[in-house]
Amino acid sequence: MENTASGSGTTVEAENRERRLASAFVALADNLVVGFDLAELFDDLLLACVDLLELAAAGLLLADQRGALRPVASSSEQTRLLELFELQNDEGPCLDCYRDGTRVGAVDDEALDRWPMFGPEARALGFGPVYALPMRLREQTIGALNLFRPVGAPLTDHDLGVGQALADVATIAILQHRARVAEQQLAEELQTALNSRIAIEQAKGMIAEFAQVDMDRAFAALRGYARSNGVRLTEVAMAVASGQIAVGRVAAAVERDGEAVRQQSRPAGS
Amino acid sequence: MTDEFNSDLAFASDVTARRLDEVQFELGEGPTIDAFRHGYPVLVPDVEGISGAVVRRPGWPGFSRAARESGAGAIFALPLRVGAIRVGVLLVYRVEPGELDADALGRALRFADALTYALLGPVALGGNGEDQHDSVIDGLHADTFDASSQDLHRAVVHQASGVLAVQLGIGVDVALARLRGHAFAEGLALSEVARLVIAGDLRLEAQ
Repeated sequence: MENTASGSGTTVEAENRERRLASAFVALADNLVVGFDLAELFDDLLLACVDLLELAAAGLLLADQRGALRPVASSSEQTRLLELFELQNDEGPCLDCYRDGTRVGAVDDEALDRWPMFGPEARALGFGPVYALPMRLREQTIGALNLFRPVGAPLTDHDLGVGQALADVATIAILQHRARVAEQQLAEELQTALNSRIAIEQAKGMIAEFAQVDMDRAFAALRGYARSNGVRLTEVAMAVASGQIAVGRVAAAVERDGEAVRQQSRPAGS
Repeated sequence: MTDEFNSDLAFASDVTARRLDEVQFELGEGPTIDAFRHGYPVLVPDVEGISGAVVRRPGWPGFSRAARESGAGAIFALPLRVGAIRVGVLLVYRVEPGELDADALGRALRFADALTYALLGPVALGGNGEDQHDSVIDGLHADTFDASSQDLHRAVVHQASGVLAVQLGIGVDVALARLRGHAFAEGLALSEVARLVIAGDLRLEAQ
């Protein structure tokens, strides 16, 4: 079904993209029911982000309320990418975004100049344009959505608007998690999310060692097991890391043939 | 406090603090218990319930009254956890009601971190009560904590705990304690030891 209008730029491709965008938001909003799992939502949100904006990589970082930013979700579990997020406690777009509460972006060589430690490290992973979008709650910035594109392929303002809307979904999700909005309850939610991520890292290590696979496959096994058994990702991670579930049971969900279950963007040079 | 059924009060600063712990143990309900069970901070800025905070919490029918009688105006329970590793709970109270502002919360969380890691070594690796007490106090004073504290938030460190746990058939708490012990003994950064373990370049032996 062709639908072109000269001068307006409307194409089938753009319409499809708008449809996928709307579907992604509906799917994310559908997840905001009582008792949903924040770790799963963050992961789904990043996958949607990467898909819709054709990103090389993305990450979600939360303020730990002790003065640092910590990654709680990543489009890929590769260590160098996680460390690129952690590095931004010293320098980088997320640090600037967190401090100022505003959108930060730099395209290709600008990033090298602006962040002499972070810039080259991002480039080494094949990233050119880098962005950080604030997660804002009233007067506070509680985190940042970090986006990476391949060299020479910056995002448009429209794209960044989509990205900001996704960052806002993440913020709403934290508040909606147990339907709490007061100041003290925010601390409860943030600390829970941060601690859950640690349990996920512990479980990833156990599965990776047991099944002798990389961290991406280990994470995919956690999500796959959670899905197949109708339990939350965070609960599975806690159960594996505490020994309540034998690591072998979850490791059985590791995908060995062909693609890993989880869609991943593989940065060049990693 | 190691688990909710065999909790040990490790330290109480005064009679009120001790009473708050005791009453929760007697009733089986309260902020310390919730914080331990669910793993999130339980912050009660107004015990008197003027804002309805305590009254609205499900599951504290008995504790609410006992808390008011104890003389505490605000109670904050911070779980001492590292992922799935549960060390205990830090319960802090104030006579005056009021929220923990961002600065106070940050200080409380940093102190809870220090306490968690000071307790984690001796709790995980055993030792008698007195040794444990001394090493906790040493741990809280040690400069080494500040130097490595950023490392304790790195993904590789927690992944390495998982890797080592499976390699040696031990719990992740013991694995983390082993990694820290090795780093300290060899004068290496904890994150460096973690990377070596994950890469298979360092194999620690069973003890």
